[in-house]
Amino acid sequence: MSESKSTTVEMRLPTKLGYEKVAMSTAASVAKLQGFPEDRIEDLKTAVAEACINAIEHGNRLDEKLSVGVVLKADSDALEVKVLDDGKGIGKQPPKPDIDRKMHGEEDPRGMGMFLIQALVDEVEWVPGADGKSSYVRLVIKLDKQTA
Amino acid sequence: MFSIRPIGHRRNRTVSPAIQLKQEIGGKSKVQSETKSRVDQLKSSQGYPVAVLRFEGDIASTSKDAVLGAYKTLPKETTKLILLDFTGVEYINSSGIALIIQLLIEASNSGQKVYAFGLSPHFTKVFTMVGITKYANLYPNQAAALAAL
Repeated sequence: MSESKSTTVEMRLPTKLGYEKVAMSTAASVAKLQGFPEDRIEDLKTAVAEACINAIEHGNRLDEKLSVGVVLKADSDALEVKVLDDGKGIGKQPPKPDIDRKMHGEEDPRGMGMFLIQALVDEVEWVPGADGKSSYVRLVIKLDKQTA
Repeated sequence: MFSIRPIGHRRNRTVSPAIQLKQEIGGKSKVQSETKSRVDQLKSSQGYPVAVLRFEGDIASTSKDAVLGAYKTLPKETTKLILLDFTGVEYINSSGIALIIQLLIEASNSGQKVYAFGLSPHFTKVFTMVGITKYANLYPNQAAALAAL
């Protein structure tokens, strides 16, 4: 991201499915203020929602005593999103979903969240917490990306 | 990189203004909107019977009854063409996509063909990315779908 002045927005969400929409709406509002085009905002919304769902379901294991942190950092040319949870992070990336295997019952119909995140943003990294928890995913979506 | 407060731990009881966006439905707080579905029986332009499953609201992990439950009400012997109407759907997440794939699997096993219309350009892209378009043709609207069946 550039060295220009940036704006940061932080949120703390309950570990409860459905609240990913709060992060999604906030990220969309920030991206709109930054002048992102509508198609990139839609990509961002899905990526942020999926990152939060992973944090709620897998990171915090639906434990409502925990919360999910979301930090949005907007620069003139990009928006960076970190989604933090109390999990230990992912061991290894799941394989790319295969619709034919799913249709033939050889693969779970679920498990597309990480694939969607990777496909829709410009950069993504999953960072395990040093203490075995407090891991996060970091996404970057750029303003000038030409959509496919 | 930027510094962040250690916010992955115990939840602060303070509710942020954003979280107050939650809707109060039936006395129980909900953020995800309920999925509604209904079935219409139409005919394609070639005269074939088509069952149209119309969805409204979010399609997420809580939508199993609205998606698979509604599909299961269709009589398998007489329903061979199924059209999914996403015109009233604003939010679909990966769990919702998984439910659509489950519907496609059940329909395929029953010898039924599934088509869809009314997806936004973004969700048209997402359905294409995950491969759903290999098993369900997408159309921009109901008229285009019925004309093609």
